[in-house]
Amino acid sequence: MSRSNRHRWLLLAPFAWQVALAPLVNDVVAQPFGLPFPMVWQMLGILVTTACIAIVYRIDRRDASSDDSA
Amino acid sequence: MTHGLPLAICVAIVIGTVVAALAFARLRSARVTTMDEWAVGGRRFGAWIFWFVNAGEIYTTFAVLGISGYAWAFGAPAYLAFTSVSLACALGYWLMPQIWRAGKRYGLVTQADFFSLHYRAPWLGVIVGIAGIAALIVYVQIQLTALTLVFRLTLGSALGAPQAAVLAAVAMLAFVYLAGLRSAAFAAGVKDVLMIALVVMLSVTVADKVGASSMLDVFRRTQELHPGIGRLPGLQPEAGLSNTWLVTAALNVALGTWIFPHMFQLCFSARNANTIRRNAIWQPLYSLSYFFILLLGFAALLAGTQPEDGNLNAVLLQFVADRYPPWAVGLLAGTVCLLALVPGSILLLAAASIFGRNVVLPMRPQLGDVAQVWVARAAMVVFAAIAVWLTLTSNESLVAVGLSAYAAIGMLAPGVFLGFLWQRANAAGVLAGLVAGYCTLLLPAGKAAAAALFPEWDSGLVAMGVNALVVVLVSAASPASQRSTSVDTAHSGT
Repeated sequence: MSRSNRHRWLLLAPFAWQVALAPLVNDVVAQPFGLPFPMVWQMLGILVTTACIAIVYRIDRRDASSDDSA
Repeated sequence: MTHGLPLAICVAIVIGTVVAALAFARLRSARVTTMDEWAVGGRRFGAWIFWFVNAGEIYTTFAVLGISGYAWAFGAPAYLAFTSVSLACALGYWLMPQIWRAGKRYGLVTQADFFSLHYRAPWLGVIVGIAGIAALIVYVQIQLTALTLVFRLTLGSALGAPQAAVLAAVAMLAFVYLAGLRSAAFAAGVKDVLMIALVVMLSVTVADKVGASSMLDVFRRTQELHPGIGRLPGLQPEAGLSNTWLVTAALNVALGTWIFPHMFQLCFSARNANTIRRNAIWQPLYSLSYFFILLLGFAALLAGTQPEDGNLNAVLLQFVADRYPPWAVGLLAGTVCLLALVPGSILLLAAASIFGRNVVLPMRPQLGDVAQVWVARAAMVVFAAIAVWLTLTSNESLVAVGLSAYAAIGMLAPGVFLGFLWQRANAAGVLAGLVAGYCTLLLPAGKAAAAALFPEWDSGLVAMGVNALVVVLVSAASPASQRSTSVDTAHSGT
């Protein structure tokens, strides 16, 4: 973990999506597929989270091929 | 619902799983004689077992019965479920490897070990151990509540709540005495597969049962019938489950997830840090399955399901009992039993190992490994008894009980996070923070002040904030010589 850890900030994106923006999307009346928008938003948040963690993991693996084999 | 079929299926599922789990444990490992083997699986869990134990801990009756009940009673506040796993994983990606590394370095078995070694204060380990046990017992209460409901559903309401709760505790103890974490891992796998199969099966046919044309139509109709159900604050605005509540409760759950002693301890059982990281990628996806749990809750609302005494924890069971054939009821009952027994046994296991190692051992240092295991086993009976008592004296929703468990364990979060992030954090600060946090959480005056200053906030998050602030202030004010060890921060790849 000696190299730059700046990409780790990406792990905050799920918090922005699912927490910080949740109050803002609460009033959206659109109903994609008949589902309440805030619900769809939270489900998309799960996909966003997995994508973010996967990206961070990729970068970590690439950076850490020398150390961290544990 | 006193047909024999549901009961027979339920018993078959539980017994079949236990037997298979035991066989699996025998196959995989040697005799369990040390605390290390019993409590942290010998630190050899690879990706698959780790995934299942982890999922087993995250997807409990809290999720299935609690969230479906919340969807039925409140609507949108149930979205909390969608945030719980993903945010915990985003945080866990960073936090869990830190915990794992500290565990590997010092040979930690429990969370209290971490506090006493990292802060170089064995007394802090004792206090943290007791605090952790208290939060775990509240969590066991959730599982016992669920088991009690299932027992009364399958055996008939003639079985009183006290008897059902005692029976539930006995079942849980029996489950955990048979073996430690390894058999729980297998049982967790079985229960996850069963749960997914069951939930999908119930969901595929649910539209039919409530006169809708499709799953999505269930949502459409529910929203037509109950405008406002799909957005916060949901069906009961007076309950205070607003945007503010969702934001603060979601944060508190995310911050508290890995602080639970059993989750903290679970990090030690991974073979390496990479196992943990990879797990964090896929674990959130699993929580998309809450879609089906919400669906079932909404469908129960459409169907006009009325659980006994308006108990929202019983909504899903009641709905299935009303609308589905007996074998489906049996399948649900058996699955919920496993859903409660597996995490419940892991919770008791964690509480007991903390008690043996961090509370008893400092007082009786000559105790051997085998004796420790036996002390731990005896302590479990006491913890289970306390949980039974809590179960019988509370009639709150499982989500509310769950959030109070998170509030309780959140008191240890500042000590963990600051321990990894800030080298000046010290034992005196952590103790002062704990005291301040508990006062905010438990004293009437503290509660009133928190509610007045932060209306609709999750009380756990407020108390955690107070706690963290005090840790920082006290640590900053103490002389630098009291600094903690700095070993397990930043640069430590092993």
